[in-house]
Amino acid sequence: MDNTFPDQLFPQFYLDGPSEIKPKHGHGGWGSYGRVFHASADLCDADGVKQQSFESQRTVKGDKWVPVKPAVIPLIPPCEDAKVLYGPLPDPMDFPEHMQYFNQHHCLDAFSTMGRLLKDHWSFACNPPAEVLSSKWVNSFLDGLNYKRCQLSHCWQKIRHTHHLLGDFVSDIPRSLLSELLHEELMSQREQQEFCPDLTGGALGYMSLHQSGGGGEGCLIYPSGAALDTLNFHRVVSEYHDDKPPSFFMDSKPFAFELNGTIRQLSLGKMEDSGNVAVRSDYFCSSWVLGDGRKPHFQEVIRTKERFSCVTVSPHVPDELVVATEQGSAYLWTVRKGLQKFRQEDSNSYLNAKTAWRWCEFSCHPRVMVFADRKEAELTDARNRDCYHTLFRVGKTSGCKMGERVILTKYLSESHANHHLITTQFSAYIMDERFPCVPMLKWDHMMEFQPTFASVLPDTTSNSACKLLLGAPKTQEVMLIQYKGGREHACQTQGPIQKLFSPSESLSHLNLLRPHKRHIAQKRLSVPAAGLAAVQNKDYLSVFQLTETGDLFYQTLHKHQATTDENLTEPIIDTVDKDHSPASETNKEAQESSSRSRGCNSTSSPKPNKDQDFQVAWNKWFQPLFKKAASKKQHLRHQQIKTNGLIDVKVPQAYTQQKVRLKSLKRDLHDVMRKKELILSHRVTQLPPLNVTPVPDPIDPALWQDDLSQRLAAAWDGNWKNWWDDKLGLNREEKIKALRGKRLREKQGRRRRLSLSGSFTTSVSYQDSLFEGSTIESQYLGSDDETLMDSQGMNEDEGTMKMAKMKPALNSVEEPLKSVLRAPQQSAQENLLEVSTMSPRARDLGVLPLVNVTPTNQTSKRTMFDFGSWFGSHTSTLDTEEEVGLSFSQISGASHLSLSSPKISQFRGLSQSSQPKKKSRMGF
Amino acid sequence: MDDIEAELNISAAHFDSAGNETTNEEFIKNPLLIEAPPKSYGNSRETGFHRSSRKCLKIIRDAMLHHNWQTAAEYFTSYIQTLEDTTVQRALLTRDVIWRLGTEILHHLPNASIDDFNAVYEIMKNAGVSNFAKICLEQAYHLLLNGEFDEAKRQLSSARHWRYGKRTDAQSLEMKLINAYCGFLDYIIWSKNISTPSETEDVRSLHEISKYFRQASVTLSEIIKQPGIWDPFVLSYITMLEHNHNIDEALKVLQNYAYNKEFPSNPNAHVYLYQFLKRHNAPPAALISSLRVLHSVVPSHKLMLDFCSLLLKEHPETAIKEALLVCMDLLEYSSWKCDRDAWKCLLKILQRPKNEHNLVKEEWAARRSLWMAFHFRPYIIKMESQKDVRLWRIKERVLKLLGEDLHAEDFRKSPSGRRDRHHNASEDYVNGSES
Repeated sequence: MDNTFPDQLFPQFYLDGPSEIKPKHGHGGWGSYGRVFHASADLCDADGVKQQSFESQRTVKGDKWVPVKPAVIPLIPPCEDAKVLYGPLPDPMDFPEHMQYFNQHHCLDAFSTMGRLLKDHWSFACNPPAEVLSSKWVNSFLDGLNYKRCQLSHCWQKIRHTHHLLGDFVSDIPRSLLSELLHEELMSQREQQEFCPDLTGGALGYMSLHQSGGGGEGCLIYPSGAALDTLNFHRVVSEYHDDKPPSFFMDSKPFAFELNGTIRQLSLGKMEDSGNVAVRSDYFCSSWVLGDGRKPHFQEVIRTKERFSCVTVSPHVPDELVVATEQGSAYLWTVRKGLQKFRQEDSNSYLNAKTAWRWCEFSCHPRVMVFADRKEAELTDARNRDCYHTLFRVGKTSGCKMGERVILTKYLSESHANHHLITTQFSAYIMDERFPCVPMLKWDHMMEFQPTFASVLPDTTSNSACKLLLGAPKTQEVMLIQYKGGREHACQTQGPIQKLFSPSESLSHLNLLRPHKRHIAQKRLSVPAAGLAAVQNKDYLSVFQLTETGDLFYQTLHKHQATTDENLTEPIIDTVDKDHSPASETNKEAQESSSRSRGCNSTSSPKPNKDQDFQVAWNKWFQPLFKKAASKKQHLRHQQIKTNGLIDVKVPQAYTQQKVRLKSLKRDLHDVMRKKELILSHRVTQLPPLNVTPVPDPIDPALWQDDLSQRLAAAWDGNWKNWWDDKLGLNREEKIKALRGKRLREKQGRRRRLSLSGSFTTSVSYQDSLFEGSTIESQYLGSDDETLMDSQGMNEDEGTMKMAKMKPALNSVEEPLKSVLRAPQQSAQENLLEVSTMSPRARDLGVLPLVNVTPTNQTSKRTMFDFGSWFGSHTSTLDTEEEVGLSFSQISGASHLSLSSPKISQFRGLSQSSQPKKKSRMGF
Repeated sequence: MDDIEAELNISAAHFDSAGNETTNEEFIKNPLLIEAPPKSYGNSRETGFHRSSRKCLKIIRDAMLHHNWQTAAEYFTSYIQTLEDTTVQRALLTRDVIWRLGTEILHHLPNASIDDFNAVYEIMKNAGVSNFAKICLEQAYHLLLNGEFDEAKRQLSSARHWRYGKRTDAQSLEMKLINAYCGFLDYIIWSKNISTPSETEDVRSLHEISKYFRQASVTLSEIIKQPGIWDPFVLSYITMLEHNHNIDEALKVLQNYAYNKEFPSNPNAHVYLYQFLKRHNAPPAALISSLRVLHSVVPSHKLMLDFCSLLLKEHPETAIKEALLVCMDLLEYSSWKCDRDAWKCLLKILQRPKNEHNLVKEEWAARRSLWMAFHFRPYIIKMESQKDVRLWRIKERVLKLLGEDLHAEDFRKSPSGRRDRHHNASEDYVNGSES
C-alpha cells in the first residue's frame, strides 16, 4: 500500500544551507553502504543464540540484468533526410572568421546600403568627372586581395585614410555591434550544444495498449523527419515466450502527423482505456488521445509567445495537463476547458543566475503540482496559489555538491504514489512528498553527462525491485538503477548501477566496414540521444532509445536468476530469437537464428562467431544510408584564384629526377637493412660513389727498426712501460727468475706427462720465449683478447667499415696470441670466460663458438632467478585465478617497496661484481 | 551631433548587453571525471604514469558499469600502483577511489573473503587520514551486515578515540555518527540482556548491563539533539527511558524530535509521539492535538483515519467539520482513492444525524468537479461496479448523501462518445493527416 510510510528511516543529519562539498570524482556510487539500522526481526541461528540482523541503505546484491544481444539493434529503418550535425563545438572566439565570411560572401547584405549611397560620388571609371572620386587605386587594391601577403603595402596611406573616414559606417550593420552579437550567438550555440535543456523529458514514449498472455500490444510514439517535426504513432506487437527474449513486430506504417515545429518532448499518461499524449514544441503544446482499438487523434493545441519548457500529462484525471513556460508561469490545462494559471515565478529565489528552465509535474494529489527550477522543487496547490512548500532543495541535507543543479524531476506514479525522482548532474534522488527536503534515497549516478530522460518500471511483484532508467543526450548513456521499499520498509538500493548499451558503441560489435562507410555510420550513430522508453515483461526488459536523427534502437535484457547468482563465471543464455528485420513485420518473417552463447563481458572485442541476425539487421539498416551517401556527388565549390603571375618559379627538371632517385634509395636502404648489410659501394645503391680514402696498408713494425718506431709500436699495444723496462734492462732480473721458474715447472710437468705432450709444451715454451712481452700475461691480456675477437669477427665478413678502424699493429699481436689461446687449454679457457661474460659485443660478433659458455649462462640464469624471486612476491600471486580477487598482499607489497631494498642492493652487488672486468676495455 | 548620440546609444546598448551576459544563462557544470583527459593541452603536465593510470581507471570504470567484475578486478590490481603517486591532490582522490572501487569489486567477486574486505578497509583507512572516519564507519557497517557484531563494536570503540588534530574536526559529522552507532550497539547489547535474563543474575552481570545502559543513553541522547533523522536511535532511547520509568524525559525527547523547528518535518516523529501518548493513556485531547499537527504536515497519513474516528468519538458535535475536511482531504490523494476504510469513514461522517448540510454542500461544491473526474468518472464506475462491488456500494451511498444523482446525464456519457470539435482551430498546427 502506497499510503503506509516506513516506520523507521535510516539515520541522517539534517543540515540546512548551501552545500560546501566540492565535486571530486565520479565514482561516488560505489563501495558505500550508506547507513545501517537494526532490522527488527531477530533470527535465531543454529545455537539458539539470537543473531543480530542489520539492513543497509545500499544492498550489494540486486537482480542481475544481462543483455541478450551484444549491442543495440535498430528498430525502424533510418530516416534518410535527417541532418547530422557533427563536429567540434563552436568557439565563440572564432567570430572574426565568421565576420570575414559574411563580408566576403554576403557582401550585398553587408554593404549594399552604403554602396548605393556612395554610388554617385565614387566611380570605378578610368576618367571620372571631376567631382567624383576616382578609384583607380581601389582596383589595384582589389588585385592585391588575391594574395595573402601584405596586400596593402603599396596603398597603405590611402587605405588608412579611407578607413578612418569611412570605417565606422561603411558597413550596413556597425561592425562592433555585429561582432558582439555574433560572439553572443556563438556562445549560446556552444552552450546549447553542451547542454540543451529543451530536450528535457525526452521525445520518445511507449504506451502499452493491452496485454495478453503471450505478448502485448503497445504504441511507440516518436518524432521523425529532418526537423523532428513529424509525430508518429507506431503500433508494436511484442511476443513473449517463456524462455525467449521478446520480439517486436512493428506495423508497416505508423500514423504520422506533420506538426508545425520540432517536437521537443512527449509526455504520456495512461488512463484506464485510453491514454493522453502531450507533445511539446517550442511555441506549441498539443494533446492527443490514444485509445484501445482507435486511431490516435488530436485534441487541442495551445500556443504562447513564450517558449514552453515543460508539458506533463496527469496520471490521475484524463485530459488534464500542466504546462510551464520559460517566463516562469505554470498552467493547469484541462482540455476543452482552458488554462488555469497556478504559479508565476519571475525570479529564481535561491539562485543568482537567471535561468529560464521551469518544470512541472503532478503529485499524489491531483491538484498539487511540483514546480521546479534549477535549484529546488516545490509542491504547489493549484487551488490556492500561495500554498506551497519545498519538496527538494539543493543543499547540505541531501549531500549535494557545489554547483549542483536540478536537471529533471519526474513523478513516479507507476512505482509509488508518493515518490518523485529528481536528477542533478551528479546524483539521482528519490523524494517522498510526505517527508519533504530529505531524500529517501540518493545515488551518484556516475554518468558523464547530465541525465535528461528518465523512465521508470514499477515492481511487478512485491519481491522485485523498481527499475529506473536514466538517459543522457550527448553521450547516449543509459543507466539502470534498481531500488526497493518506500512502503513498509525504508527505501534501499539494489545492487550497483548498470550501464546499458548505447548506439554509438554498436559498431565495434559488427563486421568491419570500409573507412568511409565506417565514418558515415559512426557519424550517424554518435548523434545525441533524444529519448528513452522501456517496457518490461516478466524477466525481460526492453529499452528503446531515440537519437536526434529520429533513429530508434532497442536492446533487451534478461533477468539473471538469483539461484545461479553465485556462479559469476559465465552466465550463458541460449536464445533462439525470432528476429525481425526493420519494417518487414507485415510478412513477419521469422528467421530461425542460430543459438549462441555469450558471456557477461559483452564489451570485449568482437567475438569470432558473431550473431548473424544481429549483423543482418544492422546491414539492412545501413544500406539506405550508404546508398544515399554514394549517390550524393560532392560538388565542392572552390574559389579559383589565378596564380599565373604569382609564382614564376620553374619546376626544374632535376627535381623529378631527384625524386626518382630518392625513391630508389629508399628501396635500396630497405633491402640493405633487411639483409643486414652496410652500404659501402654505390653498386648497391644509386648514390654517387663515396670518396673513400683507401685504408693504408698495414704496417709491419718489424720493418721499422729504429727506437722511436719500436717504442711507438709498443705504446700502441699498451706495452710502453715494458718496452722501457726492456730497453733500460730494469726487469732483467725478474725475467730471468720467471724464465727459470717456468723451466722448472716444465721439467716437473714433463716428468708426469707422456712424450707426446712433451713436444706440445716445448712448442709453448718456444713461443713464449718468442713473444717476450706476453710472458707476464694477464695484465693486459683481456684487452688484447678482445681486439682479437674483434678482428676475427671482422675477418669473417669482409667489406665492413670496421676494418678502417683497425690498428695497424694488430697483426703482430694476433699470431702469438692465437697460439696461446689454442695451446694451454685450461688457462686460456679461464680467461676467455671472463671475456665472454664481460664483452657482449664480442659475443655478438660471433666469437662465442670458440669457447664453452655454459658457466656464463649459469650466472645470467642466476640473476634471472633473483629477479624472479624479487618480483615473485608480487607477480606470482597475480596469475592465479583466485588471487585476481584482489590479493591485498599486493598493496602491502607495493607500499612496502622500500622494505625490500636489501634485495635490490643484493642484486646490485651482484651486478657490481662483474663490473670491474669491464675496465679492461679501457685500453682499447 | 546625431552621430555622437548614435555612438552613445550604441555604447549604452553595449553596456547593457555586457551587464546581462553575466546573468544570462546558467552554466551547468558537467560531472567531474578524473579519468577524463586534462583540459589544457598546451603545457599539460600530465606524466606518462598519470596518463596510464587514468586510462586504467577508465577501463575499470567501464567494466564496472557493465558489471564485468572479473575484468575490473584484473585491472584494479594494476591500478593499486597509483597509491605511489606523489601528487598530493591526486593521492587524496585516488585513495578514495581505490577504496570505493576495491570494496565494490570485492562485493561482486565470488571468492572474496571477509579477510580481503578487512585488508581493504584497514589499508585504505590508514593510507591517509582524511578518510579515516568514513571508512571506519563503512567497515563497521560491513561487519554488522555480515554478523560480526563484536568485531564491529570493537572497531567503532577504537575509532571513537581516534584523534588527528584538524583532520578530526573536518570529519566531525562522521565522528558523531561513529559515537551514535557505538551507543546504538551498546543499546542492542543491553536490550538483548534485558530480554533474555540469565539465570544467575549476579552483581557483576548487573553491573555490566548498567554500564551498557549508561553508555548507550549518554551517546544516544547526545546524537538526537542534533537536527536530523534519528528514528532508530530515538526509538531505542525511548525504550531505555521507558524501562527506567522516566516518562517525562521520554515525552520531552519525543516532543523535541517532533516539534523542534530545526528538525525536518519527519512524519515518523509525530507517529512516535502519538504512539507514546497512546501507550501511556494520555487524554484524547493530547492525542487529537498531536494528530492535528500530523495532519498539517502529512494530510495523507495513515493515522488520519484514527484522527477522524477520534474526533467523532470525542467531540461528536463540534468536530464534525474538521473530520469531514480531514476525510475528504485524505480521499483526494491517489493512494487512498480505492481505500474502502476511508470511504467508510466518509460515509460515517455524512450519515451523522446532526449533519451540517450547509457545510457539506459548501465542501462538495468546491470539490465536485475534481471528485467527479477523479472518483466518479464513467470508466471507474463501470470497473468498480464489476470488480469491487463493496467499494462501489459505499461510494454510491456517499454520492447519494452528497446530493448527486447517479443517473444524471454526466454519467451516462461514455468517454469514447466525446469527440472534439476544435479541429478547425488548430489546422495550422497539424499540417497533414496521417500519411
